[in-house]
Amino acid sequence: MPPSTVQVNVDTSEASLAKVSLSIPPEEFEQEYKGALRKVSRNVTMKGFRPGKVPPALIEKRMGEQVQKDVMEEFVRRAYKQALDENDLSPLSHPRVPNEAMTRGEDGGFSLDFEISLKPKFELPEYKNQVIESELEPVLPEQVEATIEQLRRERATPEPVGDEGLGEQGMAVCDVAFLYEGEPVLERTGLRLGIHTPPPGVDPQAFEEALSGCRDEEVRECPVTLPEYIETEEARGKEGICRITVNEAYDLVPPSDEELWALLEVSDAEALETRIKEKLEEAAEKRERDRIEAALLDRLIEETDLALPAPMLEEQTEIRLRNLAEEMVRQGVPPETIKDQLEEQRETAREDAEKGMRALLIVEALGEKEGLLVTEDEINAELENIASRNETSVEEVRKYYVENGLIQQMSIELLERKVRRFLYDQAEIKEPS
Amino acid sequence: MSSIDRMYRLVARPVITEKGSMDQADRNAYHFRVPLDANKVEIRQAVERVFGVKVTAVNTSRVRGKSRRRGWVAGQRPDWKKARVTLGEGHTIDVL
Repeated sequence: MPPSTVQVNVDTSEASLAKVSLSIPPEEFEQEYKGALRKVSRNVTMKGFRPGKVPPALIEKRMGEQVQKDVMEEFVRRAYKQALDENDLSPLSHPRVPNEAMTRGEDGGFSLDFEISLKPKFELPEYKNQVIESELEPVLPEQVEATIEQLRRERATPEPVGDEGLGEQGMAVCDVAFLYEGEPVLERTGLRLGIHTPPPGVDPQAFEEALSGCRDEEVRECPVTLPEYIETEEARGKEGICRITVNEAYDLVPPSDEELWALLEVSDAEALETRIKEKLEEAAEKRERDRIEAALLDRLIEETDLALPAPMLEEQTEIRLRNLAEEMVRQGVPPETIKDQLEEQRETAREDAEKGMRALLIVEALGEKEGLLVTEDEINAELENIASRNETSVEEVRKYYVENGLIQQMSIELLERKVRRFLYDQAEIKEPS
Repeated sequence: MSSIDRMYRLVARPVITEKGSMDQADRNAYHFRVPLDANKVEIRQAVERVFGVKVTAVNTSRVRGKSRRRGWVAGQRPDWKKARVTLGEGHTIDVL
């Protein structure tokens, strides 16, 4: 039976960092190693041997190196756990041990030094009864009017244009071709364009003049500066022609007042205005609440005296930069540009990493202090919400989250939401002056 | 074929099996698959020269090839010769 404890020394003299020294005598390592070989031999299958009957000596010759590595990893795992338990440490992340350090000493023993980044100890500043001024502004009649107009435009029905052709509020289904020296270099079909929505690179004034008054089957042209993304290299940035073939031109006819009331299920203009005003007020209140919650949390992050462990901060910055690099590779950015941009972004990534880590530690500490725990039921409810938003089953969503290790991330987000709500409820919101 | 080539050919295929491992543990014997025409004397000489060990006994046996059938066609794997070479005390071979 292998020993359950290992010889570890933990140096916690540095804040936010524990230095762990692990030392395994040769006899103990050998015993563990032989045990591991026996264990492996029980499961391994090899030609010429019945399953589980391969002699450990043969296993050692064929797989010894790997088994030895596994034994070392097991010792490191035990030492890590023991260091945490015996010294009551709260780790910030798992220790990173370089591969080359995982080697047996000349005497057959195993010793290793590694570091554990610890959650820094800090005091939360006063976070209850925070005074914050509301910036909620009343909804003005003009805003209500503008929203009704917007709704009217959105619910307009297309009707074929008359003799006067495409007008201000019209819409045309067109095929658009960019020509360079008479040859098409870019073609798009079935675009829905209004006279105020020119394709990129086309002068709005010229486009409006070209398209105004057009009817079905007409072809109009206007100048264009050919965009940089077209395939023909020599044409990029040059002057060309934009040829618009109008397949169908429509006038967008807005609904009458009565039709709009019926569509929005209200009885008259006054009821419509009341409904719109309520909706606008509701949206403004939600925006304001989000702003206050974010401001309170930001204030708490700023006021908390908290020193982050440098290695951890460095690691988080690198992770952010790596993600950024992967994103740029996906977007097809050339490698030399990526390198330069990453260097430019390093400082920003560091600031973001610092803010993110500070926020996480503060949210966790506040959650713990106030007993704001995330329960299994709340996680299930969130999974149900996501499932209904994406019109899929809860099982599918759960499987995706479990497979991608996102459950923990979700519980952190839920905790942050609870903490923000708690800060808001505890704050003293002053009326706007 | 030179005598050196022949020697290496004789010891080129150790037979690593559960039975062979037990024989190795019990009486320090190593098993080899040798050509059908190999005799005990040349096997002993080959093992002693190639591995630099002392051989105390060589036992050989002819192993019948197993019958194999592929659909309608019946066949048989070739016969082969197994040599069990016992080494003197303190002598070992690293056959892997």
